[in-house]
Amino acid sequence: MPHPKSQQLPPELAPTLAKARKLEWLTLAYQASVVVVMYLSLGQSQAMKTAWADDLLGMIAPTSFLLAAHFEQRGATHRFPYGYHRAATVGFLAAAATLLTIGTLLFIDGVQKLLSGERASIGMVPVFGHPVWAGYLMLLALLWSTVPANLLGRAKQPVAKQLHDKVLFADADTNRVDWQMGVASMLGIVGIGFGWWWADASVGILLSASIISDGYHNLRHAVADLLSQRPKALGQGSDEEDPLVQQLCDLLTGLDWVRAARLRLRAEGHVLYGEAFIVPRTTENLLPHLQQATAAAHRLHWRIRDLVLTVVDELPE
Amino acid sequence: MKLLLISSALLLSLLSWLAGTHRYPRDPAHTLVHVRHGTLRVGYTVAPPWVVPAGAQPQGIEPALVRAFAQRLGARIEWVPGTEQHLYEALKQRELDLLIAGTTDESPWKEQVGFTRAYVQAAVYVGAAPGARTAPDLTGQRVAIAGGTDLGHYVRQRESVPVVLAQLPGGHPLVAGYDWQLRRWGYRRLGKPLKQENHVLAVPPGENAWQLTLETFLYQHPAQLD
Repeated sequence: MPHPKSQQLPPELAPTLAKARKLEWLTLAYQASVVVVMYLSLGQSQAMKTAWADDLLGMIAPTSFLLAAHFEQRGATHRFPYGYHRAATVGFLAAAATLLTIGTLLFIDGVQKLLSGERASIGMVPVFGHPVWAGYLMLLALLWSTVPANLLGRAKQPVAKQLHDKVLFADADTNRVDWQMGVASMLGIVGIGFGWWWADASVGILLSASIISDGYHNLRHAVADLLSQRPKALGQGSDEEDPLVQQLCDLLTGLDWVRAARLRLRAEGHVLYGEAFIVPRTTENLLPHLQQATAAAHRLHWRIRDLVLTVVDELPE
Repeated sequence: MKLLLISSALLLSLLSWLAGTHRYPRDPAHTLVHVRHGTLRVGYTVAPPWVVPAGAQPQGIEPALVRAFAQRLGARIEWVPGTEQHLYEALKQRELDLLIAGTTDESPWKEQVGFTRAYVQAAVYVGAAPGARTAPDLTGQRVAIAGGTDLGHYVRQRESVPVVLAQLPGGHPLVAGYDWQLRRWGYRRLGKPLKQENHVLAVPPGENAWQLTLETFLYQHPAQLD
């Protein structure tokens, strides 16, 4: 019988998961505050409106992670014998659809505004009884939406690597590099102040392109996952194969009763499922050999979850 | 990260310094520069008591504000009468610098031009004449209103009957008016307001130094309502 399935992460990773959850809750709370602050300082600026939408959409990723983490803990059920590992894929797909739709709408909106020469009116707000140009408040709001995000992203990335969590990694990566967009927005507002009215719509267009790009990446993740592609190494846009695959292959071919072995694996969330086709040198002691090989494979790494070893006389293509 | 914070701090300092010397923010079409010690083109249309016709030059709450503002800037005023549609179109194309028409923040033009912050929040109440006996609720009572407004709708919402009078208060026992008007007529305010209005002035879109200057003036110089 194969290694008993435990659908939870190994116990040594429990504190890491707890840390990841804490960070994502913190991220959600922070992003909610950003959405409020940005909404209050929006005004008529297209750049601010797009940045605000981007911040709102940014709440999808942490929510995805927290929901997926919750479902994955459930383990396999009668109805879902493979467990809920693909819960994250659902999140990617939903995020992709939302990001692409909203990004496109904002892009069209921005282009329209630029072509029609629409100018943003940014006037005065009283701050503790003093008249202040609202653009300064927008800059402060943008600063609040940028700096803590970068810090949170940097804190989450190593945790994501330890858990080998694509959702968390993508989220952390987005947070980390979002400062570029924040700077672009700030330059946009500063530009409006210098009288370059077109800076507003231009920055809006730039930001909406970034949202569309995010949506596209999410879509790629989701589709790749759904089509059960070969496991990839963790990293934004990484095309390298997951090194664990080669390690596992080496382990199996290194066994003295194995003539040749081929793996066919897929990633389901954090973990790898799949089949190993083995051409044995001899069929003596086949059952104990298979049991030992299966156990060894599962002991190699916690991410190897459900590997089915099967004996064949010829390796499949 | 540190780089970002330092450059942001530098940028904000630079902007604050520029702002202190009044060189930031700027108008794309240099409205403020043109108006200061120059000509202020003000479009207006009749909207009592905000803008009231009186010979060649309008009077009323908003013209008074405009005169004080122009004096501050050392500008001479060019009064341009017209219909609201034409005036707003002209304002949008920067053919005018300012538009006064009793505009409120509910106006559909707010997406097309720059609206200032509300310089006054005016509420319309039903007032009772001195000595008039009034039931606690106004159901079925006749309330005098000025013509050409939507007050009839609000009066009917209170289950009362609107009566349009050419001249208010016209000795009518129940009249709808702004609270300062009721006070001037010696009428007693009854109950909650019929309607709340946030009044604004309009400027060309995107002329931010101009708008900032005007809004600062309005903030520091409340409108004379009586």
